[in-house]
Amino acid sequence: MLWYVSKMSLRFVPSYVRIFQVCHAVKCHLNKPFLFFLPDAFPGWMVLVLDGRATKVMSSSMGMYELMEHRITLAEDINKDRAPFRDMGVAYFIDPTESNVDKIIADFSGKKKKYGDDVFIFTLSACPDKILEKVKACRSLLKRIKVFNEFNCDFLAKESRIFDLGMKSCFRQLFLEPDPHGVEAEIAKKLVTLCATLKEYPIIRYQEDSKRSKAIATLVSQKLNEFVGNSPDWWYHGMYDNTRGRSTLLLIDRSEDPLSPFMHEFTYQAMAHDLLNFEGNKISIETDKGSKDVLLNMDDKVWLEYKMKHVAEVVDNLTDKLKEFAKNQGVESNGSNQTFEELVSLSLILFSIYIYLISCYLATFKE
Amino acid sequence: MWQKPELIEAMSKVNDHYYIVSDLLKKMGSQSILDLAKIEQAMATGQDENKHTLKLKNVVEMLEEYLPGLDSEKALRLLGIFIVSQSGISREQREELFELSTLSSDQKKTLLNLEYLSVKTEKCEEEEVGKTRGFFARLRGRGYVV
Repeated sequence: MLWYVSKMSLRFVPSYVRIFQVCHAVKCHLNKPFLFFLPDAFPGWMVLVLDGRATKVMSSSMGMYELMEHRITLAEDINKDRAPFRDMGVAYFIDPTESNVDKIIADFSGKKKKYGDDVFIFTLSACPDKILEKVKACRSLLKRIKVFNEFNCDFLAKESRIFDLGMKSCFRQLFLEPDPHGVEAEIAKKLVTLCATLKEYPIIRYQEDSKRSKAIATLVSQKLNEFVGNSPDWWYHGMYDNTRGRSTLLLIDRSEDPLSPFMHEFTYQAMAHDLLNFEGNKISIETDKGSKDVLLNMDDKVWLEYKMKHVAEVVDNLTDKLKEFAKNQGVESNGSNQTFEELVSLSLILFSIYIYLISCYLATFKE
Repeated sequence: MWQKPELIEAMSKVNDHYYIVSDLLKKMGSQSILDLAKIEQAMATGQDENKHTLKLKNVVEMLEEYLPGLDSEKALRLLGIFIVSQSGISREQREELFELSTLSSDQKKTLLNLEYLSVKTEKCEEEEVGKTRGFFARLRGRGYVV
């Protein structure tokens, strides 16, 4: 009966939830502690304490504004000196490492406690027993803990369908070190948190001749089974529902395709990253009114629409858009507005660029 | 116009992108990316624009023509594609091409380190272009195991 009920309820999950959308899934997942754990347990304002890794994970899909909505007044770095707020609760988002836990314990040992009596601890990945023992041993901390949750979200949501494990040096370690077991285990751990967040229990496939892929595949499968065994409430796509089966995790290393990184690609995103100076996803542009910083991320709808399109197509579409704006505005402002004149000149410039581009492309792709 | 703030916002976004794209086009023009891409495509696919199969001799000629004027990053890309697509080049040829380019010693090392990605960087006899170590090409030939 229970099985039947849950099957029925899953039928009514809106379709967008089932689509593989890293960003969306992460946002839902990141909101969970604030929506479900915190409101019931604690009514007041809170301080959020993060370590470096957690800050990256959080900021990849949540802004300070959204945190404020969840009654967080302040976000602080666990490694820095923090001012005490004895009348507020505290929520820690940390990588479960010994140094981090030592710092939490230090906050609550001694005569003067740093924060109030409500402590919430969320760990990014599965917490080792040794760390748990350590927390248990500190009584002044233990009696204050309201929630201790393995939060399982140890990766950065880069784009709606791209995630990043945030391990820049791992390429070198994987290919140069004779025994990269530590890195492989780290990658596997993070991939398990990805599966947990996306609610996927994937079929794992790997490149046969790559010992790295093989090692990681084995570790992921082992850790994922461990995770599923330990979390009875957890469900995955394809568990009850036959319309969409289980997903596949395909593990391939760079040796499979060494050519692509060398090639120039003509999509807007690839070209921009090749030729312009980015700082992360920030770019500074020169406009008529001086230079200006623009963020090219998930919030920029124009960027989202055009980043995977051919540069020529982008110019084409932008011109159309500007013409449309000019037309709309002409109707509303009777053509007497200054910005309207600006727009006309702008579309003229665009038109000339467009012509230039067309000639370029005719020359190049006339095959 | 002032009645529609969302329109103003959308327009300023489009405007920003217009500046970015025009900057991009200027740079593409000044760095002659289109010509470069043509050679890259030819080397990667083993065919020229008219779908004629390229001989190794033609490719080397093209490289010898382009390499001297290129900045080191682009030269690195071209030589990388050359080595990968040929699955290794002879030592003399490599020295010759390195000599022509403006590669720093680190960048030369980078190319030789492709060996770690199981790319052959060196070979003795000369072969025709045409074999790409592309992802899909290899997928076809080999089954994947669960």
